[in-house]
Amino acid sequence: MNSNVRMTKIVLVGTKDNMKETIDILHSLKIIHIIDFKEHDETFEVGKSLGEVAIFSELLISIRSLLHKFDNGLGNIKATYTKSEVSRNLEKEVFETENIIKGYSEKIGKIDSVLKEIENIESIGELKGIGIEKKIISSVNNLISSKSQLEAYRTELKDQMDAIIEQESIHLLQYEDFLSNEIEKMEAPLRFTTTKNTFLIEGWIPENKYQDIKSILKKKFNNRVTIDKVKFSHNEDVPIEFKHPIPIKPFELLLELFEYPKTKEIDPTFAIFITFPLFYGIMLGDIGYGLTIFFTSLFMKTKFKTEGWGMILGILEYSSLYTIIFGIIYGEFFGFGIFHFLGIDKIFGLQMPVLNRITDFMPIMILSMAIGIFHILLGLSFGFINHYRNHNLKKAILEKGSWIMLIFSIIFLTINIYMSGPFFYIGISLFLTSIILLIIGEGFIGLIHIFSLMSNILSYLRLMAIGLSSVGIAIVINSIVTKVIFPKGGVFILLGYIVLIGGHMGNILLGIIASFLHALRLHYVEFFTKFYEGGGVKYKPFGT
Amino acid sequence: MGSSVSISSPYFEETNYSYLNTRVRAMQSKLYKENTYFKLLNMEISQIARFLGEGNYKYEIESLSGNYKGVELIEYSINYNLGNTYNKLIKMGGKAASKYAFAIFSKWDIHNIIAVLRGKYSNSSEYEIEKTLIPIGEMPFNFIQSLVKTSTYGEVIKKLKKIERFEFIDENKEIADLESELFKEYYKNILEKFRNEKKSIFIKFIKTEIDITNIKNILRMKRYGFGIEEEKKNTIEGGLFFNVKELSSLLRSNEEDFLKKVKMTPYGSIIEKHLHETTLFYLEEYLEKYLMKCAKEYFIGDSFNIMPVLHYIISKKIEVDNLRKISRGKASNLEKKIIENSLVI
Amino acid sequence: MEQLIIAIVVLSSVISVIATGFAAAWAEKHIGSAAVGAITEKEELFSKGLVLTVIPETIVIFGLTVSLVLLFVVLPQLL
Repeated sequence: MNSNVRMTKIVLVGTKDNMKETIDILHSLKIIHIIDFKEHDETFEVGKSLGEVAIFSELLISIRSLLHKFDNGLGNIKATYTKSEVSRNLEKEVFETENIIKGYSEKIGKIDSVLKEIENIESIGELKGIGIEKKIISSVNNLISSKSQLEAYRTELKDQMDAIIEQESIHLLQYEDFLSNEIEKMEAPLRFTTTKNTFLIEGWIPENKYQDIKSILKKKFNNRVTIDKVKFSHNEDVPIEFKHPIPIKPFELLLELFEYPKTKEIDPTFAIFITFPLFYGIMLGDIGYGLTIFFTSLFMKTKFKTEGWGMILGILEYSSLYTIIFGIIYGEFFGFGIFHFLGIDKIFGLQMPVLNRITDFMPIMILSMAIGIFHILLGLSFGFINHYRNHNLKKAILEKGSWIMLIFSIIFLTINIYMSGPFFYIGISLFLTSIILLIIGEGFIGLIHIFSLMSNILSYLRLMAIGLSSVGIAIVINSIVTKVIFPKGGVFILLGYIVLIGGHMGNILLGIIASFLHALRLHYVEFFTKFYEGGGVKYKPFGT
Repeated sequence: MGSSVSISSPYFEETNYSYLNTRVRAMQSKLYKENTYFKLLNMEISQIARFLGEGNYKYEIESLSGNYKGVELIEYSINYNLGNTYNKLIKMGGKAASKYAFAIFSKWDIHNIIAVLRGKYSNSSEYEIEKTLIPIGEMPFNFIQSLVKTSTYGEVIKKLKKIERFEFIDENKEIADLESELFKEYYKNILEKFRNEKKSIFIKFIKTEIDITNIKNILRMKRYGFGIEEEKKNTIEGGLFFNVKELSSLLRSNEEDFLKKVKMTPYGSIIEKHLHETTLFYLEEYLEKYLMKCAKEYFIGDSFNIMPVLHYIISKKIEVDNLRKISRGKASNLEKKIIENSLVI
Repeated sequence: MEQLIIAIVVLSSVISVIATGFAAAWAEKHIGSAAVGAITEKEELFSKGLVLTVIPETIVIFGLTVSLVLLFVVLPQLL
């Protein structure tokens, strides 16, 4: 069940004169996840930045401030400069641009204050009749009438300034990228432990990359920089890198939104892959809505190509497939009874639709509860395994096993009502055992948690309820259009179609969001609380 | 940038604590952690400026870096950022929050006024004075700026006297005396404003602050001598542990008694440790540090009151002070250890 | 008599939806404003805020279920 890349903890030690080269190598390899150095004392302290970092920082501040003045999102342009090229031209160019822009800003600022004064003079009002010489009055009026000219000049200057920044912006962006990269390398020692003559890097690398990096370092430095595996306990925050098969990959997002799993925890991504779209489908369940969402997400995948969007759209695609499947089961197409409409009664001897959400809400309710019980049992078993791995069997049985038994006892007692057999005795003995274990494990407070378990299970009723409200809205839209608007004829036919399309668009949007959130909630609140601790660290190698 | 909100001008809504406090907590979590300061201590000035520009101070650094460089850029940025942040707090705080926030912020009014007075007195340039101002406070910052533009010391005082709060200001007094009078006035004002909440934690904080100020003054007077006049000027009524009468007996007691009395208060250990140093600098520094630490401890509270906001106000001030100490220390080539010790962490 | 029973059951189901609706709305108001406060400062809390905001919706779902059960399960048995 553990689908993470195996990590190993390493310590890299070298003499300070080789530090710069080591950083360059590590930066280009992009495999080491550095642990920042925290405690410091007399002998060990944080390292100092290397090289021309002060100048670079100053340049970067200037560049960013220039880009800040002109902000229209030019996107990411990758720097393709070699270092020597850049350091020759960059400084001059940046400061030149900065000076030009500064000149413009000063001019604009002066015009601004002149304009402000003119406005003040304007607000004084008429100057006639208070005994001022005509010549003076006319010169004041002249001043006021020059306002529009000044304003025009100001806009001209602003346009010129923008044009210059725009022209330079590609260069500036490249420089920014280059400088940030260089500074990341130069500042890397701030994350290392150093003594007077040596430096030490603690970090994590994937286990299978260890030999590679060791031989690279050996070749380059002989023995002046060495790397070694060190022992680590599983209480440490081992960074997590998933290696899921591609179909499951999008669902990592749902973990990322919550918290990364700890090292020895069960990774629930696969379980989410199964249940999340299922819940989504049960709630939305409509052939028309499912198709709409499916094709919309396919289309949007071509437009939004970032990783995050890809994941969300991927999840929506799976979910829409389940939506279509449940749409067939419910026999709904945009809220219309499709089988009734087509005159199909039976398929393969099965009464169609299999379930009608409005009239058969009781079976769906029971189904929801059953799914809930199953889901919570799954969560509890994960919790059992986690406890067993991280602590011991006793704790696992007391804290998770007791709950599992409790749920089973309730199942047996329920079966007892409908069937004869020894179910009652099995149920009651399981019930008593679980209560005793519970009290030993969690104390009497544990008994109160029985109520939260109940509310957890009842919470799965939303699988029925959300769907019911969604289909309710769809049916209302349909009947307004077909029974109220269409019969009026004429222009109203057109209006009817507008209402139909608009209404269903709104309902789809609502359905996408509500089903997504509630499916998510069932996982985060009901499922995860049974086993998931989280708080793991994502694997983020140096140089990415 | 940095325009100040006056308490009378905007319309204040009822405080929505669930909104306010989660937002403030989110802001709190963005403040720099202990580890960051150790990193900053190992950086050059321009590096620090860049680092600040990559985090919470992005807006200020980017918009000010056209005009300033180096230490000045940092100083201006952190001052303006403090002002902007506090103004943001007042705007989102609503009625209840702004009442306390203004009470704390009006201390910066005094700070700014004194900065202007001192600057004018010593004929500093407008630019030099503006550098020390922090755009926060109950008074509109425009007013403070207009004071800076006023030509002479006397004119500034004339302008100030038109405000009811500052009627008592006398042109002929020495500037140090004016300073202590202004602060006295400030504390009196606050205790008056909040006289209905004598037991509240906020007042406890203010009273601790008064205590610390008093003790600092007493130590100074003990060391450098005093007259009745000075004593009157430099003691403020309303402290948490010492009222004016007790202060006066503290002032006149010998070292042994003094220590004995002081040791009954939480400040005792700090005073005892540093009393015999040649300068009072470190002692005062540590008392100040203690005040900040204790304010932070006082203001840890549950979600449905004003405590998280006060906690944030103090934490933010500490952060800005720390950054200022680091950048100034770096600029004057102070040893790393010395800067580190002066930080409140 | 029959009409009275129908009236009472229908009224109860109406109350259960309305009351739980108000309760959920009240709770969501507070959680929502807290979530918005946190999100303004830290955008990465958006998803958590959203999920937290819908948590009290459980209340109204219970209400809806109770009212459905009253109407379609309890009522037919009483008549």
